[in-house]
Amino acid sequence: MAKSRIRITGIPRLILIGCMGALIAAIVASTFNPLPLHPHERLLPAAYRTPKVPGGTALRLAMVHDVVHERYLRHGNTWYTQRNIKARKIIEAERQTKDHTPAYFGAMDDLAVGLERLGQYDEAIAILNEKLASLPPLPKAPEYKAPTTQQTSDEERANDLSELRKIVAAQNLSPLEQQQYSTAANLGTLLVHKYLPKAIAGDAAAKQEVRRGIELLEQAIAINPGAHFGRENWQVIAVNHLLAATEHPEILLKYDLIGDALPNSNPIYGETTSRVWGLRNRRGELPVISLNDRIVARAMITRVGINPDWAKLVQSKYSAHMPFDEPTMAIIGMWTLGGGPNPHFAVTLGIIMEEVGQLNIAWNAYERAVELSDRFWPDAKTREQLVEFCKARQLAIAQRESAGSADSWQEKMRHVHQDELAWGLAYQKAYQDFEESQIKAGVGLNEPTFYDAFFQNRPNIASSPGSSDDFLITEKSGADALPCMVLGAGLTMLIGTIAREKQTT
Amino acid sequence: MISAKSFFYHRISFPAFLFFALTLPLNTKACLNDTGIQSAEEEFRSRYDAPAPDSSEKSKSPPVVSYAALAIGGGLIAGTVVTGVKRRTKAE
Repeated sequence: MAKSRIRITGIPRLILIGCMGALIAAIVASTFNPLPLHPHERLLPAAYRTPKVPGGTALRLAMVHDVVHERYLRHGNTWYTQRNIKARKIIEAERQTKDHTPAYFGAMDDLAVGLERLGQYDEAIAILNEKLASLPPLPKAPEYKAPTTQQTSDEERANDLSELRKIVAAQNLSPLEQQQYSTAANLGTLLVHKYLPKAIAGDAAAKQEVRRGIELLEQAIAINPGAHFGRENWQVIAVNHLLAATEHPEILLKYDLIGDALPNSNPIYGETTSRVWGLRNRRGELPVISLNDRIVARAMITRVGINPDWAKLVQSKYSAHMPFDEPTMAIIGMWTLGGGPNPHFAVTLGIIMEEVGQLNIAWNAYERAVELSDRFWPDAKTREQLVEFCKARQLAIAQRESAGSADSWQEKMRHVHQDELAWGLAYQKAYQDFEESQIKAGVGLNEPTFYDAFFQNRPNIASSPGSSDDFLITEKSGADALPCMVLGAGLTMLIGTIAREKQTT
Repeated sequence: MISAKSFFYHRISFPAFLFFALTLPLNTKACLNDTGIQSAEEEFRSRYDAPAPDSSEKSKSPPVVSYAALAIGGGLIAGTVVTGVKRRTKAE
């Protein structure tokens, strides 16, 4: 029986050959595409570059690096002494009058803050108590609500949106509310600062004063919940953590200042700081973005902190993980605009940075915590355990960053860290020395050109953020394979035509 | 007032406590609001101000080689089809 054979010839044969060529080219292009149709890469801002509050400050990773290395500007004691003289004059001129101007209240805040910087807490507290007495009574602090069980992401978003709405609603304070807010916040902070060391040592009366300070801070938050990108919420959380540690010192080496469980094993968790939020036509801060969009964008940020067990113990306001930039910005604010470095902040920054995969910054933060460990806790054993913890984390990072030569990697990192810290401290000192010389020369503090000569020919104290807060996105689409497929089809059809030609001849 | 219990609890000596109390500024004082706080925050922020990248911008110029390959491939397809049709017409 003769077998029938199908023969495809002519144009259908050519089309078939072309399709086969296109198919082979498509397979090749799916693994390596030498002829993409669209440009490969796009730079997109990380989600945390959308600040929590409209108009707020967005975190840059360079800020964390700089704070750890003291690369920020701080006024010196001479500057505060001079401002205190000016503030006292304003207060004295108005003290006997009945109706006080905003300048009078502002001078009271300035004097209290200035005295606090110079370590004169008693007079600072007396001034703010005087200011508080001349204002209407403060609103009551909201009562503490026990944390609920683990939240779903929808509940987290709903809570975030509700908090944001409250913050936005309170953004336009009346002048009176502004005074109430600043007085409560300043007095609460001063009480905490004066009495916390004694409270940590177990003094019951000092603990009571710290609790009064916390209550005032909560009243300040009730008036202005979004002030200073929510720093005060985290300040209360931090103080509550330290107060709880006086009763349960074991929490110091179990959780950090924001309730994150201290890692105790080698694997380092987080890898990415946030997923991509690719809003089109975005340049700098978005001109128009709804509160809901802001929540959606920020929902992509890696969340850290707030272990539920810790939250119950320290009566934390937040009961669920929070976007990592919120506590980070708060710590940066407390460090730079508050009282400067301390080991609790340093170790917390180290853990947060490790969680979001920023291992070099984390290593430097742990190094700083070791340098500041004398101030961690009165008990020597606790301090030693902190140092052990930090060194273990540093080693884990070194083994990850430079497997096989961890020791030399750490040595190099330590050398760079010390050099950079020395540079930052020298810059701060030069800035403060310059302030002193200007004041001696009779230049007014509010003179717009006060610092001009200092900054002339001097590099920026802050490091450049570069593109460390952006994502480089490699895009892939089906259309990208088109040039390969068309060229493949064309070439195979050409080969098919030539081969047929030869066969015919 | 520092209680004896607290010293026992933390196992520190009085001189050690004094040292600690003097050198430990647990500086959680974020909320000091003076008249310069706003400008200090703005000054701090301005040091890091750089516009976010524009996600709609292409980071590379259009790929001329890819478009050239597309044109060559298209030309070859058209050329071979035309040749095939011509040959068939000639044969007929």
